[in-house]
Amino acid sequence: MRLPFLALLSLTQTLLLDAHAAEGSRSFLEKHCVECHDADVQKGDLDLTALTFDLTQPLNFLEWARVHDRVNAGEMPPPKKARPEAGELEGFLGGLRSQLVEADSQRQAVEGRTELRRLNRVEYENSLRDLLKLPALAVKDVLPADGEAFGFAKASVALDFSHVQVGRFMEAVDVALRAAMAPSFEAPPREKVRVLSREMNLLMVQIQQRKAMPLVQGKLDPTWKVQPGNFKERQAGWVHDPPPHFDAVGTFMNRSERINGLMARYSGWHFLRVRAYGIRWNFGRVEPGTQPEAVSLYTDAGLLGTLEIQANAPTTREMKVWLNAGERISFSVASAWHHNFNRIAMSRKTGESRFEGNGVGLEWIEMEGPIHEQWPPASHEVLFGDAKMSRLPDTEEMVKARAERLRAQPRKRPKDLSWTEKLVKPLPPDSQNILNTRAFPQDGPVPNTPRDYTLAVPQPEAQARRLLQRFADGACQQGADLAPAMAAVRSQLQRGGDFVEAMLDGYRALLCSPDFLTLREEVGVLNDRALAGRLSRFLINSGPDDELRALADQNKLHDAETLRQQTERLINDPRSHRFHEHFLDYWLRLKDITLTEPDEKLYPEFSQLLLESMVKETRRYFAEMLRRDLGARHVVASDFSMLNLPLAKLYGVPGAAGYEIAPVKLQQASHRGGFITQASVLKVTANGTTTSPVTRGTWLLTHILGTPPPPPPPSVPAIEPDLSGVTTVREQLTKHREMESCAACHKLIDPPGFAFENFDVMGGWRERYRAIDKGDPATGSKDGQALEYEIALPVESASETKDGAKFAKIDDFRVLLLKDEEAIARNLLRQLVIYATGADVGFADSSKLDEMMSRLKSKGYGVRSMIHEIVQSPLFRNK
Amino acid sequence: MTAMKPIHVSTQPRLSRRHFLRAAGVSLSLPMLEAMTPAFAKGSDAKPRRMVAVCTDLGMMPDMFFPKGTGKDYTLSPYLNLLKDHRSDFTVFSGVSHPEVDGAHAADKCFLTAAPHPTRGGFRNTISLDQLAAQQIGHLTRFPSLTLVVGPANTSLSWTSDGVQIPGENRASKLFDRLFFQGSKAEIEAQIQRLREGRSLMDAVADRTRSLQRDLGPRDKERLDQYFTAVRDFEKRLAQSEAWETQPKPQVSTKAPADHLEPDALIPRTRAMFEVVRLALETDSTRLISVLISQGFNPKVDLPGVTLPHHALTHQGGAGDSRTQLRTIEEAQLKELKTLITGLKSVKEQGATLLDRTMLLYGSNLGNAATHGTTNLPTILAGGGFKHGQHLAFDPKNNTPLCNLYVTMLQCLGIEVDKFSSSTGTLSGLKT
Repeated sequence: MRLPFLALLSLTQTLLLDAHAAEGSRSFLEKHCVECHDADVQKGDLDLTALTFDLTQPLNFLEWARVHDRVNAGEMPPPKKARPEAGELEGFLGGLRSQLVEADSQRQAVEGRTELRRLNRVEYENSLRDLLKLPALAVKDVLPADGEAFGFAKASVALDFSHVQVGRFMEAVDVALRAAMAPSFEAPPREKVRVLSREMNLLMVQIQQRKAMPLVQGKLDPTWKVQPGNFKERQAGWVHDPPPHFDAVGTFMNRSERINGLMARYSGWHFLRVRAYGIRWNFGRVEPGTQPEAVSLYTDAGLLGTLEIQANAPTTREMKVWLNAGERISFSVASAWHHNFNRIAMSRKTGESRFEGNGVGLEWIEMEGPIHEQWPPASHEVLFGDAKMSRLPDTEEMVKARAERLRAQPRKRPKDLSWTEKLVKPLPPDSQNILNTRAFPQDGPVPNTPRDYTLAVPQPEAQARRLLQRFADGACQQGADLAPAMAAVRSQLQRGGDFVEAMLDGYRALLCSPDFLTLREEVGVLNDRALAGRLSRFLINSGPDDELRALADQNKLHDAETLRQQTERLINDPRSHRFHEHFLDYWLRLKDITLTEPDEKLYPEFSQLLLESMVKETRRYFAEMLRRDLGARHVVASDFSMLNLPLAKLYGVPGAAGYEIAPVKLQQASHRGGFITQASVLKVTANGTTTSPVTRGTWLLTHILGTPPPPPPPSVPAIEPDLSGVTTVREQLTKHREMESCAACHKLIDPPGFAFENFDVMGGWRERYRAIDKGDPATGSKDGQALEYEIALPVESASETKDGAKFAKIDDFRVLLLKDEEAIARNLLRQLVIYATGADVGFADSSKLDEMMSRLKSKGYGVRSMIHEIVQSPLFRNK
Repeated sequence: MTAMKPIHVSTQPRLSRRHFLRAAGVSLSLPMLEAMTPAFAKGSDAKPRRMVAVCTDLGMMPDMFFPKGTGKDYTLSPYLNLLKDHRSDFTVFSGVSHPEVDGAHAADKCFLTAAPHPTRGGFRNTISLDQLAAQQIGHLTRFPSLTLVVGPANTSLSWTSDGVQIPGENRASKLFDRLFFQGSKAEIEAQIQRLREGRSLMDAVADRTRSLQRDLGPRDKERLDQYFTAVRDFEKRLAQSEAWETQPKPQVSTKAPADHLEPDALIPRTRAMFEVVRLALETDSTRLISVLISQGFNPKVDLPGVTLPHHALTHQGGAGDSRTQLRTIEEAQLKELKTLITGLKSVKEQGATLLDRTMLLYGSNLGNAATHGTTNLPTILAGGGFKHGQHLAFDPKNNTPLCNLYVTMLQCLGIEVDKFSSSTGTLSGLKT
């Protein structure tokens, strides 16, 4: 500890602040900062004596920005040290701020706020989907995952280029072009395949194991006798089923089963239909269903959709989906609870199934398609215009491939009983060996068929140029140089390739060029084309559509009223769901929702359907906020929620009717409301077993309030929550309160976290924690089986904010949070600016944000109004 | 007057792209660009490392497989006794499995990926061990990896990062052709033509990028320069592939093996495939191979005394001579493994044996085929230069993640990772 005057002496010699720094800065720093932040002590690795003042250097700018921010927040000088006088503080901050603003403005004048960037993979996929008129084109997953900056994947620094990226772009283009061009001269035949439940081998195995039931007209088949096979005694199972034969299978397991026979042989739109009815199984009896059920259909690529099945009366439900050739359908009874029944549920001796639960009586599942409204398809015409198709003569390869494709066709085949001939006991008469009811063989792969058509074009080069120009006009933000594409076309034609090959080469060149992949903007006011691009990437996460482009080409888009109208149009456009999804995936971190899975023993009621529903809830809620221009308050509180049955059950909220998400009014005393009490958010901020007040508190501060806390000191280990139920996580965090160095940050972080402790890892409300042991047994049952968790210690959610305001639960914490409405609004506005422009709100921008905020105040900081404000502001309209 | 809320300014200066990728929790493996020297000439790599992963999907009877005793002095089990000549060349593991990988037979999908719950609705697989390695070292050989299946085709152990299964090659003769048969001049020329088209495309793209850079500010110019560099890098790789095309394939003195596609020819099929595996490694045609042994459920296996289907036998534990029949099959399979190990050991490479340079993993997705149990998986690791000859026993009630072994294996391949799928670290007790 040196004497002050000595310190001053050394300072005046070594402080490097040059003449650029305001005089007030130097004396302030000397007086309040350099004692700790000098060459010897270097608290926090900051040596102010060595720090120059040259804000034109980006690194230097960032250092001084950090100095400003920490002093402004009151974090520096630290609480232990003498506080500067108010006037002195303002002088320093004001001086520094105005210099930072000045430097930032100058930088923006030269370079703009944003940097050149490439499309991110979602934008890329959406752009190709729109350009090629292929609504379900899947290329996103061919590309590597994008990075993140400022919380989104929209800023240049997050979107790098590497040879991996380049290679994958080439692959993605090939996938897209192949999907777009007509696969064959003739339209593929529209076929219907119906697979009866008794033809689904996996269901038959379930029946044999007494996990599924044969039904006739909704009741247990009275004439059915089954003997399950016995491997040990080498006894084949058999079924004796005189008329009436069963017409449906009651299945009660939430388990994904692939259906042999339902494979798309050709790409295209397909109808998938399910005929079923909801029922209930109760320890040996089939009972009428009491609720609608949900059947989900999947391919390997993911969920296709969920159909709602009414109770008791068989109904046919259908969905229209795009399937790629070779994709096979799986189904699951999404609303059933069980993944699989363990042995306890079934008695092997008596054949009785000792469980109760809801499920469906499944009659059949059918696939019809592909459905093509025109041939060649619209995507083909995008590429080749109206060039006439003519058939190529058959080659050996084509004939072989065609035959193979036919062989891949689902077709019933006779049973093979040869291996049962050596059984010990023969089968009883009139029975059949159900193990071999493999009506449909496992589907083979769909072979690649060589192209059987060519395109006749009188002037190929001229036509190529026309088509490429038309495509480039739509695809490339600032137009394109067609020379490389035309060179590729010419080269292919010279080598003897036909028009199709030539055009494909041309499109490859175009789609791999920086004209398509990168977004170039000129410094200053954006030209109309760039503005159109920004607007569409903001509100529909894709390139501009025809209407926007036309306005841009006529140079009319930049007119304020036109811009407003187009903003309105796009917010209302059905494609705006892409904006909701992409924005929320990053802002609320919903993209991480599948990173962990709730533990099966502790949270048996979690299901895939619940997971899918909770994500839909948040997206629909945001859409509703946009639709009604609801304000930032609604981030934290609301009098309604967007729910379906599974979510309503989880929340204990009445009023939901089916599996579709719909608005539901919340009771006055409900704990729910706003984003912060939605299951998706609560799941993303927890892991599969435990919740942490620190994680959730940090999430609230960072994503909702916009005041992220500093990271923890490096040597502090994470706490290991006690699953045995002896200590609560709150007790484990008492050190935060006891140690002063921890308390400084944790009195900000922990209280919101405690308020959230009443929500478990999937967003359900709890008054007491669940534990593996050391508690009271849980009430209720899992379909007639005992629950495997116990109820342990009570949750203590009461705490107080850093300002000393006390709260008991989330409900009153929410009221306190609403006092910060302006901060919540400002943060949301800032997130939208980052998403819309790809650059953070810098020093030169914050005054513009202030102006927007003051105008938005009268509209209750409505989200729709925010979007309009952003679009009209220079933050959006300039580079 | 209230203090202005602090604006969150990123306090990091321009960062390398790697930082953001890591910070975002994205593990992009960007292969090293420095290793651009063509690996055609044998011996150009300091010490090539290989990996073969084999999964036999109907498991092995645990009481016949798992040895008694642990460490170096363990007692060979009846099955391991078949490998006694190679006792110091392999390690046997117990108490390992993939957490949350259930689903009985469906678990073979997850043998090399360890993605949880393969039978749940909405299941999406993740990248397999061999494909992850191929991203890093695949470019060093003509074939980045080989995906093989002994059984009906179109299934395999290998999955891409997008959750797509790579179809397996099930015909040993076809594999042999791919490795050693020089395509017709026309075929080679066609492939070279394709690569050349790719290169000239990249050339044109690079030119266009350059021309666009002229009108940009310094920051934007730098960004576009990154694209330019990436395009040039990719072009170099295409050139390297083109060079592979002109390079003659290695010559081997053996003839192409027969395929043995009859449903009950499990053992000859396994033998043929393993032989081509050895040839592929010997000629450095590839360094990463996955082999799934999967027959479907009905076929019998053509061996003396075996009269019932393989799958049925696994569930007939106590009945009659079922155990004997099953043992006959499983021992025959292990004898083929022994042949493979012997074969790898007999090939010399720069003072060591091919076995020393090759990690051979042999295991199953089923720990107990009778109960469809997916814990306590029977696992052997041979070769790779580790100090073998021991039984590493982990807790049978609280299994150690098998991915810990996978991390060790990736590191042995020279790939810098400390995590793979459900791993919690490297596998303790396994040393080089």
